[in-house]
Amino acid sequence: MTMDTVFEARLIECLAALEAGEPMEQILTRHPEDAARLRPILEVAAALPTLTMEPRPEAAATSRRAFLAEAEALRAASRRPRRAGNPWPVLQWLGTLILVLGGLAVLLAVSDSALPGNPLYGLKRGIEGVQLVLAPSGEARSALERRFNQERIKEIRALLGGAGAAQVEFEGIIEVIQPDSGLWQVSGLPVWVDSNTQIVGTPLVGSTVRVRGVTEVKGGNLVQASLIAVVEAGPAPSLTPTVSLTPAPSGTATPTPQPTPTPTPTPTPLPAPTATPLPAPSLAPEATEEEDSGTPDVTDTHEGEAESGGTSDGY
Amino acid sequence: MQDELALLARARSLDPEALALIHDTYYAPVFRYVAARVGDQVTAEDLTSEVFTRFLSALRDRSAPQTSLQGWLYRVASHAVNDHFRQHYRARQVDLDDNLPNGEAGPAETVEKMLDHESLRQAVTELTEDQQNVIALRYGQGLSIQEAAQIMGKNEGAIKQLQARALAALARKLRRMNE
Repeated sequence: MTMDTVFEARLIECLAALEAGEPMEQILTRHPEDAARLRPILEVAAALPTLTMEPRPEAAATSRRAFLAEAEALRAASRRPRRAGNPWPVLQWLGTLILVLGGLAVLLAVSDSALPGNPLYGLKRGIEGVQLVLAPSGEARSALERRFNQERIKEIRALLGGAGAAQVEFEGIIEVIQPDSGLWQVSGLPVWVDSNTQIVGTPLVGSTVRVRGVTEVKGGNLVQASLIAVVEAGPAPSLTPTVSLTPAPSGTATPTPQPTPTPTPTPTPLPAPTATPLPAPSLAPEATEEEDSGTPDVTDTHEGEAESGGTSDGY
Repeated sequence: MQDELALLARARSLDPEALALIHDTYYAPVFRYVAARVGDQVTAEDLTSEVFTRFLSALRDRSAPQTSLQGWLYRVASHAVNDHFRQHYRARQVDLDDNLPNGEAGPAETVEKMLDHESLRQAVTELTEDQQNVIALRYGQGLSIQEAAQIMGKNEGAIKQLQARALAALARKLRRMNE
């Protein structure tokens, strides 16, 4: 601290003491070395309140009358019909509004294709949220929710196709459970389930589940699930195809599809997917329109569904 | 705060009762602030009326404050005082007050006291704008450090420092006047 700074700090302390009502002489005795410098300043501080002026009542009344009269004139003017005046302020306002709306439209269009992890993804989800709030209840809202869930699945396919890793969440139907490998298939998406995955409910093939996780490459692109929660227990599908992450070479083809339904597996709790074995999938699924090999794989199914959906992974 | 927001909302629609309440509430504080800076009763009254005229203009132009009316009024008052100083040359004058105080002080001491007051008022007008503001708010209006800080948009430490430097500057000016 410089000397001036020290004196200033001392002065601030003395002014506070003076304001608190301590007598000046008493304050100055605490700082004898600076008393000569402090005294005139403290005297000014003590004299200033004597300069305070109070308004004259008649002046206040005159001001009030004039103020309220002017306000009344303004009110009268605002009630008169508007004449065609200078349109410029209105045009400026309109121009600004058009620019803002145009910019917003561009932003909305760009955000529509945003993926998780993209800065505009929050805007995309926010818009969906608003749409849900505004949607009437019932079938219209349910349809909107289904559409948005399909969008989530589409986003995850794009991420698994190399667009990057991100936190994801979606709802889908369990199509395959392979407890020995930890690989599941939910609505066509490969999901890795291990001891770190929190399981809520009793997920079975055919159950509708909510999946939360991260997309990553782990011997193949998949969703590493942190949570699988049963939303709705459904009937098991008639066939339980094998899940694999890479296109299966012909040498590993599994048996051809059987048209006969397999018995429904007995529900068992699944604290960890490997803990309770489920019937091992042994049958390939019925051939779909897109399949021409004996062993379906997740990748093929993805692309098939994507093509049938009429959209491309144009992210 | 909620009351002030509601009052401002009514004022924006030119509600006469709200406007009357605003004038009644803020006329005296604004006057004291202006008077502390200009040092003259009549000038302070004129400028205070000007502040409320500017408030009406802001309501008409939809640029009136949305939240804090008090801070806005003090800022407008500061601008009005600055405009006044720019437009008028302030000659140092000595005005004898017709109303003599009680008989304890003789005429010589009374004149000396008024000179001191006049000198002090003159010295205040020679401070920087920020220093004048802090003196006017703290000593003219009697606001606390915290209130002055809020109005001036500074922290309390800055206000204490500004006040100390303003007072030191006043003491120096008065010493030079008396030399």
